[in-house]
Amino acid sequence: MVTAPAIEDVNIVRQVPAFLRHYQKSQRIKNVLWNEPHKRSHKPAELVLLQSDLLSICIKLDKIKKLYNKYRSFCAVDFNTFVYAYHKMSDVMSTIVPEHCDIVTEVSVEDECLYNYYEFNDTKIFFNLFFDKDEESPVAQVNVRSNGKFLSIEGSIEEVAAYIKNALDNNLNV
Amino acid sequence: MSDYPVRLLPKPHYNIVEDDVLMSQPGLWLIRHIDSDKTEFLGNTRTLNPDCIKIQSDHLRDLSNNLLGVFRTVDIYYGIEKSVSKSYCSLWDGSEECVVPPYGHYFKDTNRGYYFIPVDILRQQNVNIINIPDNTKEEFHFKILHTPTKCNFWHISIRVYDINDCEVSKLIVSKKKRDRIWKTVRDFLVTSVVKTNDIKPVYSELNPAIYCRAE
Repeated sequence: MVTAPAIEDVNIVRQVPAFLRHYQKSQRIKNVLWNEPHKRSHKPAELVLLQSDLLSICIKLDKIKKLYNKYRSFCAVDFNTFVYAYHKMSDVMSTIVPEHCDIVTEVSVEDECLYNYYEFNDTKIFFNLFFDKDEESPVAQVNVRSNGKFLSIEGSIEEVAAYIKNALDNNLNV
Repeated sequence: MSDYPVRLLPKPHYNIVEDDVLMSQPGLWLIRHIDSDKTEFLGNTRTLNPDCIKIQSDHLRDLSNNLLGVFRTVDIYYGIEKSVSKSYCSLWDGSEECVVPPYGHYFKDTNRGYYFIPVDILRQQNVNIINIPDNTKEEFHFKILHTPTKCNFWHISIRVYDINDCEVSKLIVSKKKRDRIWKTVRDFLVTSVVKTNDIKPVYSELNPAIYCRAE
């Protein structure tokens, strides 16, 4: 069962900008409802929507926590770095894969990395993140198969994303 | 009574096949089992989960496989019990007489999955890794080696080498870097080489003249 984050999880929610935005907004609406009862008739619908968004974010947070705990068992990576990279990976890939990507798997942890797999048209992409407790940010690795060619790119999350976007636009002729 | 496939055992008149001879044979296919507890595919795709590509970590890091031919697809279900694996799974020296594992020393697991590797595809392709911060490019290639064990003459190892023919586990790089190379290798195999078990393999058998001693 998914529950709202506990007080000790406050560091977790702070890492998720969407959560913070929704949370602050819902608090503002609650305050309005509490202090200005005459506005009640206009706000409940919005509050319900926000609460539903909050719940879906909590579910996401729950998943990230599980992934983090799994990863932490073999690499003492900092939690903030982990969550930031997780979101960054999703953000940059949303600019690369088509809106209706045929297949996106759940983010998984294998013994050496955090990875996600995307498949669309004739293209298969592994986005891998390798954390190191001594490094501030992870090494990103994208392994892509497209049009019968295979390419592996390593660098920062932003670097590999920009490179692979360009490579895909040019049928991996880089 | 043992029903272990006796045809898999090394015979006194067998030779270990030279690496270059093996690499030059067209149409060879390899087969490898997937442990029953592994998730075979990624999500609802037919792409093999890279975690199923098991890289041995004992001596050299290699991928253990079997050469199809005398070794048939149904033989993939047989395995040696861990407690006695040292005596049966150690490398055959080319002359030792081998014994058939008795009942209790082996198991048969028909729930195991398996996948195929067509050697021609493996041989034709190199793996390129582009390192953006250093603006460098690394190139790796595969070799298959005949590494018969005392219970399976058809055991084959796939090893990965850099452009200077240095095997990956011997490269002077950090453990993290080596892990990244292995991940690329596994992703390459599942996206570009591996055939899943829903296809019927079409392979050539190794000519007996290559692995049998002349009388």
